[in-house]
Amino acid sequence: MSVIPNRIAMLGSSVAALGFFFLPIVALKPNRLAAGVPFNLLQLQGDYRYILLFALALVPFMVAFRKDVTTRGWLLVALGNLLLLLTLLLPAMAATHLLANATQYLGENAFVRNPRVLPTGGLALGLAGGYVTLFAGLRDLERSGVQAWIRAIGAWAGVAVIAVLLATGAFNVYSVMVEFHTNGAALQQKFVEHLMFVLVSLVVGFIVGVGLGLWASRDERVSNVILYAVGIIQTIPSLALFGVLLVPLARLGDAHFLPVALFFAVSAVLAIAVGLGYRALAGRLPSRLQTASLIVAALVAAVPLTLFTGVFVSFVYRAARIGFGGGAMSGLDNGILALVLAGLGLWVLRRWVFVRDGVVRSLVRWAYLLAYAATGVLFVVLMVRAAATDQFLGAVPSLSALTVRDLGVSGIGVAPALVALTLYSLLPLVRNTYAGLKNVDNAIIDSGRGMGMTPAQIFFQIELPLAFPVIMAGVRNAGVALVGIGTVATVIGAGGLGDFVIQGIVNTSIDLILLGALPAIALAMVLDALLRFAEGLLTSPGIRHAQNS
Amino acid sequence: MIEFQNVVKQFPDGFRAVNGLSLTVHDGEITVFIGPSGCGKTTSMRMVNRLLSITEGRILVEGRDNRDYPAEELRRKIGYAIQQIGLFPHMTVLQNIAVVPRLLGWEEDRIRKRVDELLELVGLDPDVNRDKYPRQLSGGQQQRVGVARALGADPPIMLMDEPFGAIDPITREVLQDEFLEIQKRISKTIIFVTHDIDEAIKMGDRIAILKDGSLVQYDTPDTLLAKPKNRFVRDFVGADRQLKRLGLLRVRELMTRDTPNVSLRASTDDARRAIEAAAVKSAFVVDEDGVLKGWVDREGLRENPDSLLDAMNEGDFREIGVRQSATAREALSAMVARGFRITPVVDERGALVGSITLRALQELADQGWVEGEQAS
Repeated sequence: MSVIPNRIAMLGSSVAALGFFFLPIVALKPNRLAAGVPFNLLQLQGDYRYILLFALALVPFMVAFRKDVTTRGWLLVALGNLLLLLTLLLPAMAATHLLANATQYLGENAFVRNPRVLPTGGLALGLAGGYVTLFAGLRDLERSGVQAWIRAIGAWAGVAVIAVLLATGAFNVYSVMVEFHTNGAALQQKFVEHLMFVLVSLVVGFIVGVGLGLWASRDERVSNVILYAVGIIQTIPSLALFGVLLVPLARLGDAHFLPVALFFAVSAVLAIAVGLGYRALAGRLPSRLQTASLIVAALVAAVPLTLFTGVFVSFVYRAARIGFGGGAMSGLDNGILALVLAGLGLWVLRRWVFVRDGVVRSLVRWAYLLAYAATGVLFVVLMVRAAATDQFLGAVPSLSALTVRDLGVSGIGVAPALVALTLYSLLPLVRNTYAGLKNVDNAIIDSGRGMGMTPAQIFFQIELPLAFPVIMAGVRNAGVALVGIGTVATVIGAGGLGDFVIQGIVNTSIDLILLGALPAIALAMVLDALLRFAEGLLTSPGIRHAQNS
Repeated sequence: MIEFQNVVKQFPDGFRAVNGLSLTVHDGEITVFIGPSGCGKTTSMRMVNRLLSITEGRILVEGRDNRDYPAEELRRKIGYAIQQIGLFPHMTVLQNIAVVPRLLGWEEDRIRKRVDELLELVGLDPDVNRDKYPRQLSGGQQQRVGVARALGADPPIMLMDEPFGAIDPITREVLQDEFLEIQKRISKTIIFVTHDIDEAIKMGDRIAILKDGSLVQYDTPDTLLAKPKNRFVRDFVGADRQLKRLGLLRVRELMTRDTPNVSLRASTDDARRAIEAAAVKSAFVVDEDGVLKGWVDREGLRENPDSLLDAMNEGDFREIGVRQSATAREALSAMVARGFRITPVVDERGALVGSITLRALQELADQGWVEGEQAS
């Protein structure tokens, strides 16, 4: 096999070099709002650091022609990491000089308050080039059979160094960091808000979506209706969906809890009755009538389901905010965290640090199951305690005075955001669950049946493990999408990182927009990486390479 | 024992896949279901472990109506192997084979022992293969694991649906031979579905030919080939059915034992006398141990009247003889290739044990042919 030059590395190198050469690398701004003075390579008065950066960007291009794939891969990985690091570090170092002489560059009349350096096109392309080069190197290493965990170290080394430097304040001259230092406390709160409504809607979406996907995969007629419905939801613009939810949720919030609960109970009983009726009759009706009655059944079932989901999710969200946010509850929430970690540790121990001995093995097993059971119990206790505080239901005088709004449901705020985000998460979850289960080879299920497995055993021991990677890909898709869509939720007062973005747009301050956007991007990437890790951990090695995500 | 009694299978769309099937599958035998596609062979098999429901009639498994057993319990007693193998790709070889034992709640130690035993039975090294995943195995190895899995809990009955169908012809031959060896030891009652008549003849103790959901003929392979009941069966078994039939017979059963032979030490006169006494054209030459060394004919004796060594045609027993364990078909093929009308039969050492003539094989074939013609 003749070795062709690494074209991806050439691309990365070109992008970075062209960016450094033609575009301004940073812009010096006297304050948050004023436009900055851009500086490009040639305007920086021959500062050797910029020349060095430009030269570095050209190196991967030459390395790309090397014949030895392994060495080439390692060189490209090193260069990619170096490029990422230095693209951030060298301009930052040079910018301290710019800031020190701000008046000289900006003119005497500039209103200098919190001067900062805005990273611009050149720097962005430099980062992009570094990333592409790193990727090119990792591909070479994969081709030459370097083990996955060694490649992972190569992939994350640069990011780790950058994170350390970030913590030590090396990048404080950048405008985003300046905003971070002024808005640090607010950012933390918004970040937690954002994370929470993404996670809560993802969990609820997971339960509903996997359930619907399972149903669709079992009944061909239902599958059309379900897949069509979740597809339609995806086409509604997020802003419109928030708006549409505003009125009904506001009305629901005004209602007293008791009649709503009664309505819920009645509609749930009705839905169950209709569902059972459909199951009993489905075989005997002509197919058109069957489809029609199915749609009726689905609509009837949708009423209590939506109601319950909305109220329950709002309640859990609010209780969790108080429970995990307030210092009073710190004992319990630390306990939960400790138990989750302990359970995870025991599970890993049992699975990877081969505990051969029968007694020890089953002890470890019971221990981690116990840890998870205790986690669940503690969580419920925490929710109840949080709900009982004066910040929540504790302030309501009596049960008859209890409105749905007291449970957390209102027209603006988190409730519509949670409902809308849950709806958005459905499409990838339903579709992937459906596809994953449908793709399980019939011959495999047939032999399971032929060997005497019950339907439940076939589902849990065969179908679910085989469909798992596909379902997890759906969860990752949904999670990443929700982090993004979640930023729009700010317009209905749900908070989250979108607050900074909107504020930035209103004030034409790109620094504030970045302050909202960069953590959102980081959150999406970390969420994706964590879910990927969990997926790898839980997927059988027998099917791990059979499919690509 | 499995007994089909007037079994009918009608699908919801009205298609009658099986139409009043009655037959008995005997204990410890391989019964092959064969027929063109759509003949109901797989459907019939799948009704035994109730993967398909029976519309009419009944199937007795070990004397009891198979609907008296709970479906899952019935299936755990019946081994099941299919063409697509159906190994669970997310489970190791051990976990795959352990499926039924685990369903039955065996102890882990007993399961491990059983798995190792089965892997050895199907010719896979347990220590090497136990913890592999199916995708790390070749097609033939996967099929071996599939057979081992079907044998997992040592079921008395096995259902095999074209188990060697998806495998290349050479490996298939090997697997068939291996499975026959295994069956000699384990003597399971097996229903074996295939559409390949050669496989049916090779594997089957009995063959049931099905057409449009009905049984056309149910006989041993030899009878089936010698006496096809009608035109359909004759067409199905193929124009070369006489050759196929020869493939069923062993040379050992057909050869003549008193073959004219002379020792290497003998004189040419001895040789001439031996040939004349038997009224044949040639005699075989053997050494002191009886090992075949060549042959001598009248013409050779005429040209070299003084020395037997000069008169004889020398030949290695592997070249000119056939083993007594060979099939008649192989003997015929050897004779045609070498241009012999008679061929010596030897044992493993090469000692002459008899001979077989082209005429004998022809007569055998004619006999079957005539009977077959008359039957139709």
